[in-house]
Amino acid sequence: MTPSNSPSWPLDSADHLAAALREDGLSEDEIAATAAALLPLAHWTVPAPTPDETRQLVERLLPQVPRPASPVRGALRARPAGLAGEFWLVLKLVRTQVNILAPSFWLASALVVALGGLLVAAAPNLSRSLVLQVVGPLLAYISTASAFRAGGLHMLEFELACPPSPRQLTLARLGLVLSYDLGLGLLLNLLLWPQSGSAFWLLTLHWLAPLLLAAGLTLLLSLRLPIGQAAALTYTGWLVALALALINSNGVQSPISPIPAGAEVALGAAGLVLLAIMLLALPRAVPGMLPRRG
Amino acid sequence: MLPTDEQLIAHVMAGEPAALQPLVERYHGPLLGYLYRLTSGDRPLAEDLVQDTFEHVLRQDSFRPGWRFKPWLYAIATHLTYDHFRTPSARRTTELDDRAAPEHADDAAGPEEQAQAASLARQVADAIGQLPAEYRAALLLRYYTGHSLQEISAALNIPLGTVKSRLSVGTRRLRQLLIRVETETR
Repeated sequence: MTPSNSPSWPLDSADHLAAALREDGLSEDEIAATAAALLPLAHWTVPAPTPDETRQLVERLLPQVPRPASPVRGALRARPAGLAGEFWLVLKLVRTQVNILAPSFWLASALVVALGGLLVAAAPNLSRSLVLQVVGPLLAYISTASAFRAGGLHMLEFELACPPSPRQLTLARLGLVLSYDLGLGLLLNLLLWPQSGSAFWLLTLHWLAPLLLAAGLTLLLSLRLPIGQAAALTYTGWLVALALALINSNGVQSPISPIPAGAEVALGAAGLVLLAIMLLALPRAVPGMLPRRG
Repeated sequence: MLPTDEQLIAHVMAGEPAALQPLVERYHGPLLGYLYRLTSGDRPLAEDLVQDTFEHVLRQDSFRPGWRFKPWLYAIATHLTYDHFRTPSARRTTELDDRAAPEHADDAAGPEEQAQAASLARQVADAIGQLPAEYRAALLLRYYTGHSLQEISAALNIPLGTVKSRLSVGTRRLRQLLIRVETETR
């Protein structure tokens, strides 16, 4: 240690101390009294570390410098704090997740919508609402089975080792695939709307409500089951429910939906609730998804 | 132009060890001085806390762009010191009388002047040591390390108004303590 440091600002001079006290909002009378009380503090100087001591401290700290960061960690560090930062992070995550979805996902979803359009064109008497109610959950099936298959691919451990939390990753993927499905569904809506005679929002409801329900139920089940099984179970269940609804309605050629609009709204809302429950339960469920030893 | 503290810590956190040295060189002395006074002149403890603070900085990896490095560093140092004094074993060993005599400024002066300066330094150290921790930290940050009011607010995680009141009350108490300590030492 060198013997001592000289006092630094503001104790190095009475003028500096007065300036500091002025900054603190004191009046001139108060400054005179307070400066007199504080000036003796300058007598208590401190031991200054020698360059050698600083070098030794640096040497002790060097092994603890973080290893070179991954681009993901760098991206995380670059985000602003707070809610805006969280939103920015999810947007960035969405962009990274585009790359992990295989081309088959994008093609298969588009193909389902194209087939739905062709089906209606080939069989004009077929109920539009029925086509949409079959297509919507099928899009959810493809989306969930494609985007949330890390466990099946034994990639979950790698994903968990990344800085984004499982919930952030799930939100990003869900946002991505649901946005794509929404775009495709709206496209199909536009194709069917002119000949349907139904309101646009009603047509949207026919596919969006079961899509949300299927996505929510599949992802909630996937906390316990492999995603493929959860998606298949949900879609099969939906088809059975739809078939039962058809039996009780006017058949596949009726322009009236086998499921009333009110029930569809309830199903869509239930899907959103299931998604929210899944997101809340996800952090606690993740350890159970990891492969077990032995 | 020299890199800012914020640029240096960003480089360190990105895994560049070369950025650590200038950062430590910049803050080793001021931080040691602050902790030396905050611990009422316990030099070995202050040195340990300096190292703990830097280790915490490296380990925690919680620094975010847009933050100011200096208040963040002093916030960590202050909390580590508070945590240390909260442990029962630390409380037993914090009597100021057990410490080495505080450092004083004028080493080039004669023996009599040195003794007088040492006595003054002791009075100041005693008085500051008797202040409650929250007032002590605010006064040390303002008058020994030259923090602005906003920086103290960030470092101690208290509103600006509370900083002003702590400085005002702390200064008044310090004045009373200095008078009492001076009277006792006569």
